[in-house]
Amino acid sequence: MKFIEVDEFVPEEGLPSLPGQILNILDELSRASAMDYTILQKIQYDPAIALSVLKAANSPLYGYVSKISSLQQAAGLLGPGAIKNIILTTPILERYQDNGGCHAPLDHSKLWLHMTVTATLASGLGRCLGHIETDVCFTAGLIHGVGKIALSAYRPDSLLEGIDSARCEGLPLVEIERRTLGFTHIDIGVRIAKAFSLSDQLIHVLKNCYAPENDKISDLLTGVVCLARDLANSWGFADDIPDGELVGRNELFSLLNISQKNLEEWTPGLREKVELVLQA
Amino acid sequence: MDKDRFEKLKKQEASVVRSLLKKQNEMLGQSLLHLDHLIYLQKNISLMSMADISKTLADKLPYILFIRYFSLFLFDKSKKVLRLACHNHPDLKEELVLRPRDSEIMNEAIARGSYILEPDFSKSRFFQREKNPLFEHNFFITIPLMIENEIIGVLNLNDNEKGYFNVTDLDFFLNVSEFISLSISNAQSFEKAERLSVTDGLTGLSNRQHLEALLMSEILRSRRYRTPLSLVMMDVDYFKSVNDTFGHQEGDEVLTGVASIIKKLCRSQDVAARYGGEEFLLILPETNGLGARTIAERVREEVENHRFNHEGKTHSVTISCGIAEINNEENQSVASLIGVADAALYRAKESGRNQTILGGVNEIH
Repeated sequence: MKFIEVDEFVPEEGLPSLPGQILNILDELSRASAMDYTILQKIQYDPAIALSVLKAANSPLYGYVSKISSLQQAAGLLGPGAIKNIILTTPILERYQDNGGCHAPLDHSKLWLHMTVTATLASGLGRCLGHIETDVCFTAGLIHGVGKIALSAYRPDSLLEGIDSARCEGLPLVEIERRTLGFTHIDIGVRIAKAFSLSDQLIHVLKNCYAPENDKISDLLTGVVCLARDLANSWGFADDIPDGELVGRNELFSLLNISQKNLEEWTPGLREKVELVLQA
Repeated sequence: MDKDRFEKLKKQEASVVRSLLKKQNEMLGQSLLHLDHLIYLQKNISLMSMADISKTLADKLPYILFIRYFSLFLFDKSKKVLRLACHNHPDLKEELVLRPRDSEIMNEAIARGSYILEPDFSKSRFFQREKNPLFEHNFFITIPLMIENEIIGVLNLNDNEKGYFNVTDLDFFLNVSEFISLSISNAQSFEKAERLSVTDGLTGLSNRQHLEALLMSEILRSRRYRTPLSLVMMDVDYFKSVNDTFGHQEGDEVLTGVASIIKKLCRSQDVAARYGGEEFLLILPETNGLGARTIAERVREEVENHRFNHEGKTHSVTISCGIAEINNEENQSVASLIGVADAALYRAKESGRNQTILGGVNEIH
């Protein structure tokens, strides 16, 4: 097997996105009387573009005093011109290359949708909790699986092999990745986030949301993202990548200081938000 | 996934990618065109005169922005009015001055400090009169021109060939407006600087602003090198009666004549300035109070002996002089030095005019 390094997954030009997704956004940009907020509405459903927007906003070129952790804030600071250029230069993800027929092609749309729904639920949970920035929750939810996206874009075979092995052996993907690649998609995500100068807050989420240090989550933001992802999975928006046993609900409830009853009360509102995303 | 299904999806995606590349190509082309126009505009409006900028904008802005009509108003902050600087509307008055409240849309753009975009102006709350028959399309954009959060003008744009605008157009308009703001601000600063700079139009002496700046630097030099420095304030006695008797034109002749005498008797390092109506100031570096008195007396005597001709008759004027010198820590600012000279001049006037008085710090009230 060819030796792979984590740095291979750090793209200078940004992560690729789905062609249909980019086309939709470009169409929106060209639409008569389209305004700034409609662009934000479109890009907020694309983790790859969101990551590039955060990269630009946190680059020394703009030199903002503090790190920008929210896509909404980043878009506001950069303005529509810079956003348009980011979208225009987003690489296209080529999904249907010949893969020798040994694996079913990865369902990238599912991966994208999983990230979007997780982001929406994280934002909704943030609003319900009331003492955490909802925009940051959204952004963290949207990019929490950036390592998976990079792996799926640049080494789809490795990811597919890892998924197959994980399913066969009943192990989480990260275990297989450690054994076969020597690093995990979490390492890739963190490496990209650091290379893109993302905030420590977001890097912490990427580091801990799949395999927390000492199996314990200590910060609210990671807790919100984990609960959002758990809900997304249980509501039928899983990315179908075997992540293994993640942090339990009760532990998340305790961290967020909420109860099952709270979650039940919030569920109709959260479902409504997800419905709106699906319509968009 | 079977091979047929895979091939089908591959073909579908290839079709989307083709459309995407076409779109990207088109948009990149448009971006490059905008960039070209922006650079061209920047080269053409990097001018130091507002009149030249207005002319260039009137000629080129519609082509640069791909719009049909525009008007640019400059905001006069002191009078709180908008003055039409340039436009390409066929029926607009050249000398149009509006109060901001005369145009609600401009008033609101100024108040908010951000653009206002009305996709259909005739349906907007700003629409008051009948529709302008010139405009084929109804969109209207008002962009406040700002430098460091200060409003310097307003740019109004309407109508274009394609009949709509999108976010890319808007972004381009906003970028262009930033360039225009910068050029206007530079030209205004330059024109203002020119107006205020160095010489007094009538006498050819330094003006007050220039004198105060020079006096400040002479005070600093005097402090640094511990050298004496004096200031003489001179005022033409009974100047009002010169104007009343001989007219203002002759009054100007007297001021020019006194200025010539001052210039003639000044040493190369001295600075003479017209300070006010008939008041002159003389900065005398490396000169103590007594030395300044000698020079002031020389000027006073020369003025007294000078004969002005007016319609075949001669007349003369006198001047009074007050002197201040830097001689202690309490008397080392522009204001205090001028204050001492002014007080001494007042005493010279009180004591019968046509004389020179050396002032002291205690005289400032």
